[in-house]
Order: sequence, then structure tokens, then C-alpha cells
Amino acid sequence: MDTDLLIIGGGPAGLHAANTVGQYGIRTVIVEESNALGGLLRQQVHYINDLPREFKAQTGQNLSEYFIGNLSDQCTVLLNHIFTGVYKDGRLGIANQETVIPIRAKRVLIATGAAEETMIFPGWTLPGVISVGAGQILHHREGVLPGKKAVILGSSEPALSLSMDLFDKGSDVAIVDGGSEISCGNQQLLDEIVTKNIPIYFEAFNLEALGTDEVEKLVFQQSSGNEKKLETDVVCIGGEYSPILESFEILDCKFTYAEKLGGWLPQYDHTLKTSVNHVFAAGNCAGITSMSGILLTAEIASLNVVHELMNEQIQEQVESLWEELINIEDSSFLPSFHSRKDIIAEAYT
Amino acid sequence: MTNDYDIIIIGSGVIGASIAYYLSKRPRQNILVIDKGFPLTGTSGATQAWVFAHNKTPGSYGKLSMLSAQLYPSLQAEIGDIEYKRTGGIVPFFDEDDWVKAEHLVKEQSKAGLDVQVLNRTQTLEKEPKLSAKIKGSTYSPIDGNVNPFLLVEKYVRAFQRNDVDVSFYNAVTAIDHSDEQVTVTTEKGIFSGEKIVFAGGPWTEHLGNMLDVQVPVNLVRGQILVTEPLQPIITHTLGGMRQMDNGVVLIGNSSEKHIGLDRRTTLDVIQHTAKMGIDFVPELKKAHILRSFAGTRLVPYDGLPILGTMPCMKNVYIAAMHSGVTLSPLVGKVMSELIFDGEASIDIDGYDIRRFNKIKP
Ligand SMILES: Cc1cc2nc3c(=O)[nH]c(=O)nc-3n(C[C@H](O)[C@H](O)[C@H](O)COP(=O)(O)OP(=O)(O)OC[C@H]3O[C@@H](n4cnc5c(N)ncnc54)[C@H](O)[C@@H]3O)c2cc1C
Ligand SMILES: Cc1cc2nc3c(=O)[nH]c(=O)nc-3n(C[C@H](O)[C@H](O)[C@H](O)COP(=O)(O)OP(=O)(O)OC[C@H]3O[C@@H](n4cnc5c(N)ncnc54)[C@H](O)[C@@H]3O)c2cc1C
Repeated sequence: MDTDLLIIGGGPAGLHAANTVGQYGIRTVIVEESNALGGLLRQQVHYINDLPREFKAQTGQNLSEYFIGNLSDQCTVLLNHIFTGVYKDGRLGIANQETVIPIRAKRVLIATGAAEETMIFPGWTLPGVISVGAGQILHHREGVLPGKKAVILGSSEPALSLSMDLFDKGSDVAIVDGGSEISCGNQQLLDEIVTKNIPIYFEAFNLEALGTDEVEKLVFQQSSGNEKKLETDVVCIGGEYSPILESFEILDCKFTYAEKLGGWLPQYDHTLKTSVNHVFAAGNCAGITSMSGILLTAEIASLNVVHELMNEQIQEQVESLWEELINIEDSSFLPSFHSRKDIIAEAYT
Repeated sequence: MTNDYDIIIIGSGVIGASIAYYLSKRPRQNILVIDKGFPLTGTSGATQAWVFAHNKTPGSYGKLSMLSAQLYPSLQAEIGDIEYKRTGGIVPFFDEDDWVKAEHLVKEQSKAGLDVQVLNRTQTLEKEPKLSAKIKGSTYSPIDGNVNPFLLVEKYVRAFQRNDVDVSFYNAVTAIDHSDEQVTVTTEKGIFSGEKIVFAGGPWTEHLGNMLDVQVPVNLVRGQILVTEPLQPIITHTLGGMRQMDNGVVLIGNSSEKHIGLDRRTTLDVIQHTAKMGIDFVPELKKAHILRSFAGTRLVPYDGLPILGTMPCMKNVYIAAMHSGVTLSPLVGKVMSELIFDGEASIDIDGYDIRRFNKIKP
């Protein structure tokens, strides 16, 4: 199989990139390891307000449907396929459970997103102990209430958002956090939690999940010295996200340690090109976390692909996208914005 | 930490670490081990780690491998659990014509005292029931086995550090100056001097040789290995091409690619070929998931035999460079420490001197 652009990952970054290059008649293949397109958008039922100018505020699920509906007929989608390796002649190996398909691609865009990292404590493998992301998948995507007495670990935005949703469906909810204050910056969400009297236990440590066949209790210590025992039937662990980097490793891209973001990221320049000449990066896997940033980087990367393959003039468009990206990122979270600027600066030296 | 040492060892893979360990058992000397990474970033961290003697070139080399395998139990008793297991080694063959070769191997190895047998299909399958029924027979030796290379290197390093050997890791040697009395070693983190130095740089040995204007006659050969998910016990011997680790993972690999240099990427061509080889050997592996693959760089001297001894025209610069370094690790550590400390090894290693290549062309 031959294609102009191979996109690894069919989340918002990959889909938006496919649509962008699709307008120029460029042939694309999207490789997606799960059984549907949409990535993390599939479990987002809330309005996303921070979308780029060209989009109106909408839920993640709507956005995903919009992207999928707009895919051009030049775009081939391979669901349940994984990018697993490279042949000596440079073709990429795309595996399903049966076979490996070699694909020759002029350009590659890696948009593999990020993975949740969970906290580990005694009893964490008991049935009923899941991640916040899994809680969202069950509740938002599959329409299943994960439990009637939920304990949410952590106070990030996704953790609090899930707490609210479960509470609204009639579950008892308690939030347990190791820190001494809320880490979510969304004041509106916080106010709601307070109004609804959802209990929050801070400075919890020595967590342990207990139960015979499934989780029944969550036990932890508090800084006051008290031991607290919560009856529960589902514990949702909120954790950090870390970019999925295997594809970059396979393609021999260089990495850089982003001190301020606390992890390794692929190196890329202002065109979103990695250290390997035909490989680009966009979205969560490039360390971009806001939804607008994810979509804007996807667009910048794909316009540069268009430029390289068709010699189209895209300079002005890209500049205005960068401007928008800088405005949005600058106003949202400075340290991570600067960290990404460092990566780009590093790629120049 | 001073900057003056009796002995400086460059490289802390299975070879450098072993030499440092055996030297550290001798009466007090100041020893320094330098590595540009940490001790497993070289080939010793990307290996199958069979301790395998029976298919090595018969004669002196086969015997060297056997003697080394025989040292492993006492080494394990000294430095701690390294998961060394004498599983017995089986090299199956699929071709009728290979009978003759197998019988020849048995005859030759027995001259050097190596116990190798030819097994027919039934005998082979009795030992290893999951092997393919398509095999015609195999060669077998009870001396073969395998070891955990990570534990091996780690335990060496801990043991020689207990014996007061200094280390300087994450520190590359960039230049070497040699005089009859002293060797000066320039590194990224400073200058050290030693009365004697040892090259144990694995695939980078050629580079170290260049620092002294000596050409080390070696090729680099890449090998790629597949790692399965942890499986129920499926094979109990060390097979020519695969082995199962204590944690259930099966390592599969028999590839060798030349002219690739130090590139340690894997390629799907070889991965698929290797997977097919694995299934040809043990059909049940068809169901196994491959978790990952990795590649390592073997250093192979032009004639395939180890290089052990001193560098030409330099009696205080030693070299130990070879493939199958895991198999040979204890013996090489022992004989090199004898050569360095006593001036003479307890077994004859003259045939492994680098000067032999004066006559050999690549
Ligand atoms: C529970 C949850 C709630 C969120 N809520 C919000 C919100 O309300 N607002 C907001 O702005 N953001 C939210 N986010 C963040 C946002 O969803 C993500 O940042 C965004 O989806 C990332 O987009 P992406 O395209 O980079 O990655 P993803 O959406 O993760 O897409 C990557 C895709 O690549 C595929 N893939 C990975 N590796 C391979 C491979 N080797 N071969 C083939 N395919 C591969 C994956 O299966 C996946 O489908 C939320 C995230 C989560 C987890
Ligand atoms: C795929 C594969 C399978 C194998 N299977 C087996 C097997 O089953 N059995 C077996 O016996 N052998 C096997 N081998 C071979 C065996 O792994 C090697 O022979 C052995 O690991 C070599 O050890 P070493 O200490 O010489 O080299 P290395 O482990 O590479 O150590 C050399 C060290 O020197 C350091 N160094 C180099 N240059 C410098 C410098 N300038 N400054 C400072 N430090 C430096 C490096 O950082 C490195 O740590 C296999 C090899 C491969 C690739």
C-alpha cells in the first residue's frame, strides 16, 4: 500500500490533520488501534469551550462525529490496526491480529495521544478499582453507572468532573486527595462540588483497598493521625497523563527531557517536524494538553505536510495559527507553554 | 577518589565487570572501572545470554567455552543469585544432511572433553516435547545453560565495589596516551593515569584501539531478539534460537546482520523472520503475543575467535574483545586477571593474541 500521509492515531489531532490535508486532495491513511475513531473525544460529554476560532463550542462527542463526517474519500481508515515497526526499506508495518501490512508513506504524522498513569497501592488490582478515564468510558461512552458508592482519588479537573456526574446520577461520592488543596483550576466545578456537599478528604496517605471478591472499603490515614474507612463499590484513580512515545522510538526520533512538564517528549521544530525528516508530531503525544492546542498543532503540522508535498503557499495561514496558539496557551498555563517553546528552540540549535 | 590507579578498566559490560571482579579478589591494588554509560548500556544489556559451549568451534575455543560454563556455579556461589541454570542445550536440525555434520561435531568436541550427543527425533522430543515434529534430530550437551545478564553484571559490580574498586560511570574515555611506564586516560570528567589499562569496550573496542593507532580487526554484527509475553513453562532446555526465562518470557532470536555499524534499531523484516523461525521450532508459540523486540551489536573478530592479551608493542595495555562474552565471562575474567596480576594465565591463551591477525586479511 502507498500513501502520501500516514497518520498514527485517530483522535482529534489525527482526525483534524486528515481533514486539513484532505482539502488539498492528499491521500491519507489513518491507523487506529482501537475499534473506533475519536480517541479520548469518545468519552467527552461536556462542552469544550477552548476550541480554536474555526470551531463553535461543542461536546467532545459532537466534535468527533463532525471530524469523522468530514473525512474525504482520499482517506483510508484502518481500525484495529497498530503501527508496530519499520522495514529495512523504510515501509511502515501496520499490524492487525492476522497480518502485518507494509505501507510506504511520503510523510508520517504521529498523533498517538497520551495514556493515564495510575497510582499503585495495596488492593489496587481488586475488581472495582479503576481509573478516572475508565470511569468516564463506562459512564459517558457506554452509559453504565460504575458504582453507587464511588470514591474518587485525586482532585484534578477530570476527577472532579466525574465526581459531579456520578453524584448527579444518584451515587454517593467521596473525594480523597493526597495533597492539601484542590488541584483543579476550574472554579465553577469547585463551587458545584461545595454546593452539593461532596466530602473531600485531604492529606490522605497509606491508601489500601479492601474486599474479598471486589472492592468493599477504602482505608487511608489522615495527617491528624486518624484512620478513615469508606464503604465503596468503585474506586476511580485519577492520575497524570503521559504521552505515548513508542511510535517515535520506532522511527528513531530524538527525545528531549521537558523539565517543567516532568517527562520525555519528542523533539520538534516550529513546523512540528521531529528530528526525522519525514515525521511530524501533534496533539497530546507532543506534550500539548489543551484541546485548542491539540487541534492547532495538528493543523500546523498538516499544512507543513501540504507545503512539502504540493509546494502550496501556507506561510500566512501557519503564522496566524501560531499566533492563535500562542495567545491561547499563553493565557492558560504559562509553565507548560514555556517548556514547549524550549523544545522548539532546542530543535533549532 | 585519586586520579592515579594501578589498573584502569575501560568498559563495564560482562567482560570488563568480570575482569574487575576477579582482579579485586587479589591483594590490594587501586582499580578504576570507567564506562560511558551504566554497565548494561552496551551489548551485555541486549543479549540472549546463553552459556553455550557445544556448538562453538571444536578444539581450543570449544574447550574455553566449556571451562567457562564450569566456572558459573562457583561464581554464583560467590556473588549471589544470577539465575544461572545448566538446562542442557539442544540445537535441532531439519535436514537429513545435517546428520553427518552433527556426528562430526560430536567427534571433534569429544576430543576436547566436551560431552555432546546426537539425538534422533524421538530422543529429542522426549527431552523437549513441544519442539516441532518436523525436526530430524538434534545435537545435545548437558553443559549448556543460560544466565540472567542483568543480574550477572549487577552482582559483579556490587562485588567489586565491596572490594574497593572505584567506578566512574556516565563518563566516556576520549583519548589515551601511552608510555612504557604510564597510561594517561582522558575522560569527559577528568584525566586519570594508570600503570596498566584494559580495553573491555565491547563493540566500541575498535574506537578505543584507534586512540592508540592500533587497528582492532573486528566486524560488528547486529542481532535482533523477540520477547514474548510471560508464558506457562513451554521449553525447559536452552535451544539453538530460543530460551525461556524464569519469569515465563521466551526470548527468540538467531539473526545476524553485517555492515550496520552500531545501529541498534530493530526491523520488521528480521522480526518477522525470527517469529517464523520460533514457530518452526515450537509450533505452540504461534499463539504467543510478542511484547517487544530489541537489538544488540556483537563484536566479531575477523576469525571469530576471542582477542585476549596485550596490545601490539604495549605490554601495559590489555585487550579482551569477543562475541559470546556472556558464555566466556567468568573464564575471561579469571585468565585476564591472572595475566594482568601474575604476568601469566593458568591456561594457554597465546592463540588468542591480537598479533595473530598480522597474517589474516578481512
Ligand atoms: C477522561 C478524559 C476527559 C477529558 N476531558 C476533556 C475536556 O472536557 N476538555 C478538553 O479539552 N480535554 C479533555 N480531555 C483531554 C483530551 O481528550 C485529550 O487531550 C485529547 O483527546 C488528545 O487528543 P489526541 O488526538 O492527541 O490523542 P487521543 O485522543 O488519545 O487519540 C490518540 C489515538 O491514537 C491511537 N493510537 C495510539 N497508539 C497507536 C498506534 N501505535 N497505532 C495506532 N493507533 C494508535 C489511540 O488508540 C487513540 O485513539 C480529556 C481526557 C480524558 C482522558
Ligand atoms: C542479539 C545478541 C545475542 C547474543 N546472545 C549471546 C548468548 O546467547 N550468549 C553469549 O555468550 N553471548 C551472546 N551475545 C554476545 C554477548 O552479549 C557479548 O559478547 C557481550 O555482552 C559483550 O560484553 P562486553 O563487556 O565485551 O561488551 P559491552 O557489554 O558492550 O560492554 C562494553 C562497555 O564499554 C563501554 N565503553 C565503550 N567505549 C567506551 C569509552 N570510550 N569510554 C567509556 N566506556 C566505554 C560501553 O559503554 C559498554 O558498557 C549476544 C549478542 C547479541 C547482540
